[in-house]
Amino acid sequence: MSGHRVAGLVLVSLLALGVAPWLGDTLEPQTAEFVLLELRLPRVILGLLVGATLALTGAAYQTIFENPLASPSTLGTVAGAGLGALAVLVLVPGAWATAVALGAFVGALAVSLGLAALARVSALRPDDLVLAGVAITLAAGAATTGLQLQADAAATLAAVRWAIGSLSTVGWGAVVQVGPPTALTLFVILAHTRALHAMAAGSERAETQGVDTRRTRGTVLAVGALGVAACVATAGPIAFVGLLVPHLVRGFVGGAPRLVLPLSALVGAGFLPLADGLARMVVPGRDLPVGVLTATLGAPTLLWLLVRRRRG
Amino acid sequence: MSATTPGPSLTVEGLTVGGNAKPRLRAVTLTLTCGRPTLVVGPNGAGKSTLLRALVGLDAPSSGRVLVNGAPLGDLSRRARAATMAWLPQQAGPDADLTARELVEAARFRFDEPRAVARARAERALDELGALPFAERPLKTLSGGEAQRARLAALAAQEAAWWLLDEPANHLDPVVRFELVEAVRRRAAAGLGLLFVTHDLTLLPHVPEADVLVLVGGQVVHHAPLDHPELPARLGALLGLDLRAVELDGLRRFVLVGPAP
Repeated sequence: MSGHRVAGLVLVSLLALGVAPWLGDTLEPQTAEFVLLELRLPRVILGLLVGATLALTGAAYQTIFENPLASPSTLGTVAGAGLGALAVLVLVPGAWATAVALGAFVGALAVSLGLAALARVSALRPDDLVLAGVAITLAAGAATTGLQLQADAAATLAAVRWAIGSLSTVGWGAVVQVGPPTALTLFVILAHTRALHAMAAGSERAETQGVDTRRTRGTVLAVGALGVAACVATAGPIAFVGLLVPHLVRGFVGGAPRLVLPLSALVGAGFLPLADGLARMVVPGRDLPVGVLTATLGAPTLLWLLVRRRRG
Repeated sequence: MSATTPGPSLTVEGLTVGGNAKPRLRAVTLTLTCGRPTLVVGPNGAGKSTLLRALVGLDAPSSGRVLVNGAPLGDLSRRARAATMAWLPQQAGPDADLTARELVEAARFRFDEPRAVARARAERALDELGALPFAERPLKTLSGGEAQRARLAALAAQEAAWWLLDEPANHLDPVVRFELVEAVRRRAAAGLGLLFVTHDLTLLPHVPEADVLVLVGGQVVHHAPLDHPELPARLGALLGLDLRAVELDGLRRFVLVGPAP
């Protein structure tokens, strides 16, 4: 029964990926090769990696926190990574991209582990966890603003533009930078699919079925922070992908992580390049950051999901 | 677990769980034999759930220990524990979005096996508990009795020597309740170790050849065979109830008359 739906999702994702490089201004014969190979293709690959990582991390967070609203954005991981990256950008002018990414990783990891510790120590209810994530996001936002005021005008403009979330890139440098950490994140989380599937029925029950839930949770949080940090350091905080894609997938194939995890990665990989291609077309000649599009589409979709949940 | 070799015994030695001021279990010592069902009763807060949680290793003892066939529970790997005991919690946890089949397949975690084998074993477990007709439906769409069948099928798929059931018959209508008890009784008769927590004293005689364990205030106050002639009176006195045994069509049944006079 769900076999058809799985096949449908796979097909649509691959189709989106195939269509993405051809979206945008009409290609001119003289520049077509350069535009496709040096601008659009690296951008599609970057979108693929970022989309897959954010969506898979979101799906895995939703399982380990037993909370449908968990995601790198709602739990503050993205905000933590953003603050870390910006701190390095502003405080160390001319810092290497690797240092910025490292700052993002430290920020993301600090938020993830802090939240996990808080959840353990004070036995936070699922709703409280998201509120804590919101609090962290707000605090990180205030600190980010404070940092921007320290910077000069050019750096501030760059920071503001970065904070919207964009896949805009020239050449393959960004792909090379994001590739290894996100690949590791995707591989490690997917390798824990069986454990996460068992944890979907409650982590205590999974523990009695032989799952080392503490290690699984810690591993997912650590590699999730790594992947999200790599994405945020390069592409900025692209909103809602980690929340929406897993929900979209669940709507088609149900709640089993055995299906939801790999399909979220795949749908995320197709969705973000497609959204980026569509963003290129919204204002002809202007490159609308994809973060604007995901936020515009994401916010109402989230509200719709919430309403539907209440009814269902 | 084959039918010929008896499963491991579970021993609890001086088990205390919880703080000094108000421990949830107090110096409990007992031995449970595989193949001899134990029915656990007691008022709310007596420590019934805590006993089960301590046995499966979820609640750490503040003193005392749990032994599986004489070996400390802590020395067993997670997978070895999962091979010894399967646990059905009182609160089901967030399994509503899973289908019965997905829930049952998840319980195969302790086995390193090809997916085809896991599927076949899950299919068999669903069949044994009569859960195949609704295997593809999410638990949230099932009736209470169907969902419990699916959860018991998950226990069956885990293939543990013991089932630790925490009020599995709660919130079920009487017909479904008796069906569930009968399904569990049959497995116990076939050699499965069984620890069954219930609030419903009238259910007890429906698992014959069993021991009754009464917990009050975290302590064992009674542990004796079900067919002991004094059992209803003793239970009644301990729990503040007027419980009587009657013989109907040659079978011993309990009647709960009301509160103790």
